[in-house]
Parts: sequence; structure tokens; C-alpha cells
Amino acid sequence: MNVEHEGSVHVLQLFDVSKRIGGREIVRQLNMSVRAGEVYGFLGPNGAGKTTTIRMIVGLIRPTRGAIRVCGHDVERDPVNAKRHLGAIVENPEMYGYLTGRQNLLHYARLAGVDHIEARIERVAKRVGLEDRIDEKVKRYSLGMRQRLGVAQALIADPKLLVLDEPTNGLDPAGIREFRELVRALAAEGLAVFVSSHLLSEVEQMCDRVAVLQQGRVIAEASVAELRARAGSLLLRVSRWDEAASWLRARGFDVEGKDGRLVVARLDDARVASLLRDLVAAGFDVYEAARTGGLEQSFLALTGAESGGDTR
Amino acid sequence: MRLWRVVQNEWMKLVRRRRLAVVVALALCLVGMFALGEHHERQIYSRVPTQAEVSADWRASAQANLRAAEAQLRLLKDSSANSAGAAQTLAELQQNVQEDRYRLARDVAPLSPNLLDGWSETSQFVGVATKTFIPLLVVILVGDMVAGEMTQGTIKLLVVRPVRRRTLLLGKWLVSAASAAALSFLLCFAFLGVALAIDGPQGAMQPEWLNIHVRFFTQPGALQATPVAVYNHAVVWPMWQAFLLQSALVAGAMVAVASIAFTCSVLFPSAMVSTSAAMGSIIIGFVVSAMARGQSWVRMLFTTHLSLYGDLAGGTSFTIGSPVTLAQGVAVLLAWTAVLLAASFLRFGRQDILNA
Repeated sequence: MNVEHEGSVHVLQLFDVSKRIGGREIVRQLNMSVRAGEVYGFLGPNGAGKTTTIRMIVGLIRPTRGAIRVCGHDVERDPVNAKRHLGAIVENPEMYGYLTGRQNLLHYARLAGVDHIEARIERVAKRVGLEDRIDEKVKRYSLGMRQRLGVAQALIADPKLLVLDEPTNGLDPAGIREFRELVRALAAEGLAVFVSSHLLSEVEQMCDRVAVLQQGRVIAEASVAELRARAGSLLLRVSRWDEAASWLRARGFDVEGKDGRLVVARLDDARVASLLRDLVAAGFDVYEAARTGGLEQSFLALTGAESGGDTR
Repeated sequence: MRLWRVVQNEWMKLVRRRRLAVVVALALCLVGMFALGEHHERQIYSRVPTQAEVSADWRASAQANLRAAEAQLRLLKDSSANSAGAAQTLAELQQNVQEDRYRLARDVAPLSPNLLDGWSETSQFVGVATKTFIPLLVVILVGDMVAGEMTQGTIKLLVVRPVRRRTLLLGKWLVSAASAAALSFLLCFAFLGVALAIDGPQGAMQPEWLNIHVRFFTQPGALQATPVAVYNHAVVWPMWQAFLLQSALVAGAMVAVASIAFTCSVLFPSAMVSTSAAMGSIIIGFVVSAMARGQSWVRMLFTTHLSLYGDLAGGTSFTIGSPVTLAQGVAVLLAWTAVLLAASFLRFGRQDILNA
């Protein structure tokens, strides 16, 4: 009973999960939990252990130590119940090219134990915008259509948890945008989404919370909104910019001035507000003020300089 | 329930893959070759001047032969057959008695000697094909059952479903075994159909000996033991019935071959490697069991028993130079199947799928 209750809040839980392959510790003591309706970003450079973690969640790899629960069911000990509410795209969603899209979905729906299979296939095909081409063989699909079919197969069992491994790899900007909107819509319907990425911008636009993985460890976890508010630089265009720069410097801000523009580094929301107020009160005209690189700088601060090169 | 859904899926994939078309095309080539061979043989036979037709009073001569053979058998009964020659004489007499009794009881006239018999031609060809061509077709059909999904990466989206891995594997094996059995069974009847179309339908009721034991006599001065077929426990069946049994036995042996190929496809993650490994093990096993004639361990090889009908009709004992029975052959194939399947279930159940 307790387990069921826990499961309804935390759709995915990882407890001290470690994986050792051939004497090398790929993933070390991961602890994470994802709630219903939340998009959880899993950010890290290539080779940090993201794919290994995702493969452990979906049961392709066994953890060396620790436990993973989906909706309260242990993935290793009770795989049938744990995976009943799981939809996944692991790397590229490879499909059976010699089958049609419909046959592929039928195949996965049978394994997922879906009732009213035909109606369900129609519904997910429509949802991903594939209803016109669903009876064509998958080998004639474009990459974008394959990705859509990949999403369709992940949604076929009406999952509570969606696990996506680098889902936007190979998509064009329009496709990425469309995909992001789909993920947000699914989360709004109450799905928990666990999405890995090596792109900071993607996580920033798609996720509610984010964990940063580096060399197999989670080195930071925070909500995206919080990170965005925490730090960043402020871009200013003001009257008498050189005068304003020295005025700000005198008040202890870190200012760089160039061609009439000022960049004030390392500010949170409160300091930005007070700076603007004081600047106007001191008689400077503010033409433009913009926050930049908030998340990125927060990350640099959280993770130290070494991750900066990889998590663009 | 879940198993049935897995079986449905695997069947859908099997019949839609290009491999099935390749296998069917190769099988048709094989049937075509057999037809060509039969046609050629028939032309040769047609050049032979027609010999006397079987006389209408074959019953009288059969009865006379039977009485003479029975009388001779009674004389020989007391002397035990402890040399190859004596055993041979005894065997021939027993065979004659059994044949005449069968013909008289069922009213089956002998075929005239220059007439080709499609039934026995097919039976002989199937005996060879079940050790060579048919296993290769089976390997092509199911040799990448698991490895193909590993190579293509589709295994990932299979394993993430709420189905236990052993259920997935069992479903795949059931489809492999069933398709191998169906393919080989149908192929046997395709051969039969071709042979009957070319040679004519005669021969269905001709006698066929089953359950023949083979004794080996070591003679001073001879390098190898002399095999002699023993008809003490032999039974005589009409040819059509024996052929039905033979086809069923071929299908059974091909289930064993499919299991071997299936295990290779679990153990080797590349479709090409697994198919080659399965094919290689069958060819090597075939060569070894032919080369190591007379060694008793040859009986333990699965390739020795691919013609289970040969185990039953005595042919296998002659080929490998040591006595085998159908029960032994079935036991050997079952043991191989069980051990290999256990290995593949252990492997697939525990395997980390890292880079599929």
C-alpha cells in the first residue's frame, strides 16, 4: 500500500544505482526521483553515463548495485509491472523496416498488452501526425517520420513515464521545436518525462528540473526556474555609458564596457532589480536591459569550469 | 497469453522478412534439381528394353518362395549366426519371408524391375537432403532470429516491453522450431509430388522395412567390422506410410537444427556471424561424422542423427560404422537441443544489452 502511494507521487525513483562494466565504474550512486507531470532533464557530456543510466531504467542493463522503481515496482525484480507504464526511446528508435508503420505499432501494442489495439494505434498515429503514412513500409520513411513513429511506439501503452534518450538527435530545428511542444503537452497531461541530453539549451527549454551528470556522478540537481533566477549577466545600453560604468564599478559591480554597451556579470533577480532602480535614480537613461546566459553561468558555477566545454 | 502475443509477433516478422523469400526460392531450386535428376533417370530407364511384366500368378510363386524360405529358416534355426556370412544368409531368408508374407497378406504385386518407383526415389533423396540441404535452409531461415534484432537495434524496443525476457525468447524459439518443421515437412512432400508426377504413382504400397538393427562382425584379417542388417525385430510398412513417418522425423530433426541455429543467434550478436557459425557447425559436424567412421563417439554428434529415418531403417548404422537405433538418435538430438536452449536462455536472461 505504501509502495503504491509512493509510486503515485514519484513515478521514477533511483536509489544508489551503480553500474560497473569490466572493472570500470560507469555510473556511481545515482539518486533521482521524477514526479508525475514533470519533465526531468538529464544533462551531461557524451560518455558521462547517460545512456547507461537510461538503459538501466528501461531494463536493458542490470545495475551492479542499487534499485530502480517505476511506479513503485522494481525494474529488476518485477519487470512486467514496472514496464507496464513505461514508454521509451533509446537512442535512435530502430523499427522493422520491412513492416509498415501500423504493423510496427501493432507489434509493440501486443507486447504492451494494450486492449482495443486498432483504436489505440489510430489515436497515437494521429497524435504524432503520422496517420496518412501509417500503412507505408517504414524503410520508406524519412528520419523525421521515423522519429514520430518512435514517439508513437513509446506512447502506445498509455505510459505514466516516458524515457527519452537524446530524442532530438538528427531532427531539424522545426522538428526539435515540434518535439519540445509535444513533450510539454504530455507533461501537462500528467506524464512524467525523463529526458537525457548533452545540450544545455534543449534542457533549458524543455525541462522543469535538471540533474547534471559527470563521469558517472550527479554533480548537481536543481529546478530550471531556480537556476535561471540565480545568476547571469545583464546587458545594458544606457546614456553616458563610460560614466555609468565607473559609477557601477564604484558600487562593487563587475562591469565591462564596450561600444556603448555594458555587461554586468553575476547577478541574481534581486540585484538586477536594485541595480536598475539605482541607475535610473542616479540620472542615467536606460535604453535597453537584457539578461543573458543565466542557466549557463549557473551551471558553470554549480559544476566548476570543467563541464563548460561539453555542456554547451 | 503474453507468450501467444509474442508468437503472433514473431510469426508476422518471419513471414514478412526477405529471408523467407530467399529460403523459399532456394527450396524451389532444390525441388527443381531433384525433378531434373528424376527426369534424367527416367530417360535412362526408358532406353532399357522392357522386361517381362509381372505375371498375373505372382501369388503362386510368392507362396512357393515363402514355403522354401520358411523351410530353410527352420533348418538354420538351431545353428546360431556367429559369422558375418551366416548372419547374412539368415537375414536374407528372414527378409524374403517377411516380404512374401506382406505381399500375400495385402495383395501387393511386385513392381516390374525396369519401372522407376517415385516413392522410394523420394525417400532416398530425402535421406540425403535431410543431412545436407534442408539443414542449410533451416539455418538461413532462423539463423538470425535474435542476432538480427541485435544487429538492427530493434531488440531494445522489444526488451523495454512489459514481457519477461524468457517469454520473448521462448516465443521466438517456438516460431523458429515450428517454421523449421513446417518448411522441412512441406519440402518432403514437394519432392514426393515432383517424383510422382515424373515417375507415376506406383509404389505406394511396396514394402519398406523399419526397425532394422545392425550387427557388426569382426573378421580375422579384415580391417573393418562387417555390418549385417538383422531382421529379427523388423516390421514391414507400406511405403506411403513409411514416407509419412520419414517426413515427420525430418521435421523433428529440423527442430533440433533450428534450436542449434537459434542458440548461435543468441550467443553471437551479429546476424552474419551467427548464421555462419550455425552453418559451419552443421558442415563440420557432417564432415567429422563421415570421417570418424567406426568411432563410437560419432553417435553423440547431432549431425549423425539428422536422418532419424536412417537410424530406424538401418542406413545410419552402415554410414557411421557402429550400431544406432531410433531411440538413441532421438535421445541425442533431444540432449543437444535441451543443453543448447538452456545455454541460450541463461545467456539472454542475464545479458546486458549495451550497444544494440
